[in-house]
Amino acid sequence: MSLETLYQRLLRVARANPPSERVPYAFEKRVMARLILARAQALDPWAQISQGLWRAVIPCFAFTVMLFCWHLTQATPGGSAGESGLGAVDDLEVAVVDSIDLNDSVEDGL
Amino acid sequence: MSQEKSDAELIAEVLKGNPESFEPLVRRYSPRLFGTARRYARRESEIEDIVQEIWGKVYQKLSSWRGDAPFEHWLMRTAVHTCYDFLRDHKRNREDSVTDLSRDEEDWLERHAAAPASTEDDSDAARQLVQRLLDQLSPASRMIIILLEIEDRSVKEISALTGWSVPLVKVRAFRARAEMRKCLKRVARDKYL
Repeated sequence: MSLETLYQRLLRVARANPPSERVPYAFEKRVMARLILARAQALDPWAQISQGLWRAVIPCFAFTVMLFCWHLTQATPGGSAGESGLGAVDDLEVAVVDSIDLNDSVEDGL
Repeated sequence: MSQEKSDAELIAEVLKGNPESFEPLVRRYSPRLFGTARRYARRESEIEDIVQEIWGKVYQKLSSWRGDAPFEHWLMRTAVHTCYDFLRDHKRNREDSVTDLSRDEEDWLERHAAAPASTEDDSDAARQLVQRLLDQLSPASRMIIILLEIEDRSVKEISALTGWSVPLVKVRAFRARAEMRKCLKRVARDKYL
């Protein structure tokens, strides 16, 4: 007796014994009750609003994080701009001071 | 009467906002769905959950049924997908060993090895043995064996039901048969080799 014969025999057993198609009592009533409940929940405005708010949590949080990152990237050049701005003021001050001929003004005054 | 209405008429009524028209469809096709689900799950609670899930999916996607194919085909596709998802979700629960056969199963195997004609096809032991072997298979292999070997469907039909391509069905069928034979070899090594 080969395994192949046993294999074919077991398949024949499975074919000869299809599972029962028995449906539990009042199954369709339970299915309908469940579907109608789900539909009512879907039509409830408060349920929809709260569902929408919950769905919005992740995109809002992601947007907040993106804004924060953008703020950080903008703040860093801004800071260096401030320093460079101070440097420019210093340069301007030096230029102004250099442009003043102290000797001239002293002589004029005298 | 609503029971005499065709599937298409009932579906049109549901889509117009009359959910009660869905009930005749549930009554009409639930026996077929229970028969299908019982091939993939053993516990009655699991079987009922599978069929409820199928009806939930069908109700939600009812507007996507175009009517160019029979409703039953569309329903069975959803059923097969749901059963496959069930097998994948429960693959950890597969039995660890096929060697722990019951006394009746051992007896059936021994009698079959000695005189195949003396064993019956409709004995509980033979049915349990088949179930035990199927429980050992991977989800894809189990699905293919059931559809191809037990329900006797064509490769093309299986491709339409599962959404797998025809070559993929053939490859999976080859692997499934090899897997089934391997399991069988472990069960009946001492009696048949």
